[in-house]
Amino acid sequence: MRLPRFECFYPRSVDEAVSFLAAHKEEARIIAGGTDILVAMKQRRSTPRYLVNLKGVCDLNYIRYQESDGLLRIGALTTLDVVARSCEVKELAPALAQAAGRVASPHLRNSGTIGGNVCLDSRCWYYNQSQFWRSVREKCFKTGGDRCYVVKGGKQCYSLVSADTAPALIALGAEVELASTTGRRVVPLDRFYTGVGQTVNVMGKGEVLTEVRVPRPAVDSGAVYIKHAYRESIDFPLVGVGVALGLDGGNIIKDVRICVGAAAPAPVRPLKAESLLKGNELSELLLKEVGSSASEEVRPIVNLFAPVPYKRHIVGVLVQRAIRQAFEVAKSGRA
Amino acid sequence: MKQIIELNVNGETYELAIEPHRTLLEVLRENLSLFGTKKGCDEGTCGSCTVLIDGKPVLSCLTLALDARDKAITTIEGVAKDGVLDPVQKAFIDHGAIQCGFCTPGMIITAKSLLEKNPKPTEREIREAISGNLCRCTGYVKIIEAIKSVAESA
Repeated sequence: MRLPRFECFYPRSVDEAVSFLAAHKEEARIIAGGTDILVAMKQRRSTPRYLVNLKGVCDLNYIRYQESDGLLRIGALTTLDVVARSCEVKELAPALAQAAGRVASPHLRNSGTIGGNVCLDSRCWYYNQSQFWRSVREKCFKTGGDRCYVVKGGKQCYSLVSADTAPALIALGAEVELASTTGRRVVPLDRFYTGVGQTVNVMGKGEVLTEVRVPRPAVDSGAVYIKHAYRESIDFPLVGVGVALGLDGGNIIKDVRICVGAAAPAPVRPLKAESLLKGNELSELLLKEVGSSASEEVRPIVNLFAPVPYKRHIVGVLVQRAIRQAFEVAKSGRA
Repeated sequence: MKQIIELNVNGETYELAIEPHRTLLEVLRENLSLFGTKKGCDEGTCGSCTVLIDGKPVLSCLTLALDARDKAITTIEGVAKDGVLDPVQKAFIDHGAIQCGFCTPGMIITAKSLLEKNPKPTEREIREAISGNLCRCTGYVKIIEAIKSVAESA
């Protein structure tokens, strides 16, 4: 499959990038590592006239911890391989290092960026296909049509956000910075995804994701990301779970954030499951309750990539496993 | 519109007029006649198009040729030196790690970059390193043995 023709613009700064995007709104798209958009273009799911190539913007490639506000800041163009291997990320946000290190394959992690993974387009069997394959059917919601092929009679697009870093980052309480010609805004990642397949996230056409920020972990806390996929490499997650929890110095869970990805059109925080844990000690019985509550709340209803009963079961299993592991990480962090 | 760019491939510099929509894989094969790098899935899921860019294994099917300017590109043709096979290549032959040969260039390129960074990888590290390179023929056993043998003799 060859790429469609386009013009490539190489801004040297974020300002140049957002100005170009504002000037060419509907006809321009951003390319960072290119591992998502180039496939979309080969399949003619996206045919922008211009690609705004951010590789030349060197001040988007960094990892730095700022003591003053306790934020680990990662530039959007930092490759996933660099994020996964970074000593700072491994120390201050190990769940993110785990997630970044499980994306796709080693080769794709050398090109793919953290910004690109956060902004990954949503996925569906009927969408991620070549133009030829899709041409035999009427257009679905995501491609500008009026129907969904996965959820019969569905009134919206149910394509899934399958990025690995998203649930880990949401569990860690991360935020992202978005830039446009009107300035910059910060969006907490648990409000970044719309839950609607047509839009995927809250970014406007003229916006560029510039930075991912992760707050320094609290004392006596642990976080983990677990990915479940068909194969141990290359595949998107069938279910990805991020859990971050804080203890009270003993065995009581003081606070917890659970985030389940790839099971719904946006990563989901099962809040009832979280509240079952708060203020309690872990026990097999409690974990089982938490697992089934998470399963119900996440409600994987979409028969995509794996059957629904299987996904429901896996959500429950992975949430329990992640809580157990995060608990062990928190305890092992004690001197 | 075509742009005049310089690509540094296997130590040689080539001046080319390339349009923005050409991938590095296409330019290597079609403009430079370097057919060793293969077009398999063309969408980043098989690894047969693996080349080294500044020593790192990347998928040339998802790399724009324009983005490969000012970088040192190594393809399978650049692995043997003056007709002498690299130890990795020799190990692949000696261990029966090549059947149809389609995945082989990508495997060898990936193995070389692993051994450069990590001269004595464990079996687990080898498996992780080549986890982006698919092989339909061998079942990976001999490939891993071949890479291990080079690691052990390091």
